[in-house]
Amino acid sequence: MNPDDNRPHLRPDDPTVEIGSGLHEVEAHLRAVLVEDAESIRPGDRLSAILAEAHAAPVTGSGTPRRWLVLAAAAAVALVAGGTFWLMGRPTVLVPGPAGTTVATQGSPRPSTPAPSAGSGTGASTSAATAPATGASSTAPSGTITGVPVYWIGETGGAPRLFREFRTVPDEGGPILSALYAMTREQPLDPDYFTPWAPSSRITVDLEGSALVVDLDGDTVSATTVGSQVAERAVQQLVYTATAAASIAKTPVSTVTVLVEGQPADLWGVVRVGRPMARAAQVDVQSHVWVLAPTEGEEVGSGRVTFTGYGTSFEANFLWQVTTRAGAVVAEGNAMGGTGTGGFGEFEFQRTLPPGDYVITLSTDDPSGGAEGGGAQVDTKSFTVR
Amino acid sequence: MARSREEATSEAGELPADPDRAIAELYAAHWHRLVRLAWLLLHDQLAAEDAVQDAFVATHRSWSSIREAGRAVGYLQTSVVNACRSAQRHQVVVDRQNAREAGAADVPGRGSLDSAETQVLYAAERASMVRALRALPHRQREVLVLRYYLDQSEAQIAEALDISAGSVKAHAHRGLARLRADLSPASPTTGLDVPDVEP
Repeated sequence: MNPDDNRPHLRPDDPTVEIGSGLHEVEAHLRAVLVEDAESIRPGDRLSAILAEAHAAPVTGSGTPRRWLVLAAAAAVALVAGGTFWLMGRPTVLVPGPAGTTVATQGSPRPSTPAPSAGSGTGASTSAATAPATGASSTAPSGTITGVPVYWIGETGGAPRLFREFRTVPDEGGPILSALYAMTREQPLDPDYFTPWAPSSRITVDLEGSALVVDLDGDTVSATTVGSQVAERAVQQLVYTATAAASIAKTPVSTVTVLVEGQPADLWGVVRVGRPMARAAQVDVQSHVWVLAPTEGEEVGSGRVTFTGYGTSFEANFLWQVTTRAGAVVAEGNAMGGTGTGGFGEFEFQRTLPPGDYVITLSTDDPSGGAEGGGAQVDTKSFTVR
Repeated sequence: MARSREEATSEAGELPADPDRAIAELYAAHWHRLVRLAWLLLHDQLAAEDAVQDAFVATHRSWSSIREAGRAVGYLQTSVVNACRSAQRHQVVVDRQNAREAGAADVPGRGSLDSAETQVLYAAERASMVRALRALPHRQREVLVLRYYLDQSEAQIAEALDISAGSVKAHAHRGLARLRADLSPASPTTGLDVPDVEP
């Protein structure tokens, strides 16, 4: 047996692995599969990341543990910040600064500024250079609340579904009212989302135990062209927003009763409200995929960008793609998250990107190709690498 | 352990002394191949890229001594294999694989190897082989990947893995024999507990 017979490129004096007879078929099969399998990936570009990391001050140990230390330190910072603010459950973008220092920042301190949203974050050194864009904030200016969850509606997978943004909004008297006013008065940062609610001039809330009553003025439901599907989703948009805000206000509620001018009503002529409602099942009303980070329009520091997603997908498999604004694919891959059987979960992946403007597209895996259900569900975010 | 010197002579003097330039050259020549190597060992592209990135960073930081020793490529490769082994011990990769297996287990008839673009390309046969390879002990898988993907000699593998040539031989033989047994429908003796991809 000479295994070199079919490998003429080996030097003749190269000692080879001797194997038993009868295994040559397996050998040939294995060789073919390995080549094919290896070719099935497209390695991303990391030269700049390698050089940047090599020039960063070496920390004890190799690169891998350092990366983990950085993440652990960042998580600790986030935990401390989370305990002192309206931040429970907030997504936090962690960007390692040079020399292994990391700061987790918690949203923009500026009131009602649409561009850099709450939830954006930068390393301490870079945020100093681009002053007001983002910053570590332990106190917000009076009059605004950071990290307020507001749900919006987006069309994906053939139906209107809920998406969430954490926003810095005017303080209208606590998270619940502030979130509900924002839901009617503000526009989503992500241009793919919308809200059928019109700017409200008056919202009152009444909390008894875990039952919340939300009374809207007539302006709030003054839009004229709201279809029945969107209208039904809009009711859950309100329920999700109110319950999420109640939860970060540490006054969790289980039911929400919506009234208009103090009375039960037919919203937009199509959906009856006035009875206590709970959150509908996540899997039924929420988009099966969200991009948590970067947030829409966020600027991230150069180096490795951390993407965070949330959702549920077939076999827990999500597909992602980073493109330029012009649509050229820069990187793509897949990520695992959730249970694969309907349970939602968070996942993250990283990619080193040169400075530029990008779009991240996250989608669920739809093996039926749209034949079952409404097809893959998608969330996209535009972001910039400085 | 036999030290391969031919690599030393072929590399010495060719790579620049400046670590940035040297790493850039090594990157251009070997990045893709090494990431693919790591992918074959880990089946997790991010973890694979991380492992190879770490190997390049380590090479950069010790460039003068590695260049002196004249076996930068061998050093990179050994670092990658070692990084893959520790990555596999690391919870993240294990968790991702568990999630993958768990998801697959609920849907008989689909393989568990589900990267975006490979999903459609996997023939059932190929998926079986990849899965059988993944089920092998680390050493056997490493030996087989170095042998049949990188076409390395027994001596080169022995050096890369820091084991004896005799061990290389034994791991290769056991690995191939086990693959053959796993892939043979007549002898389901190997205890693979993942669902078969064949309908």
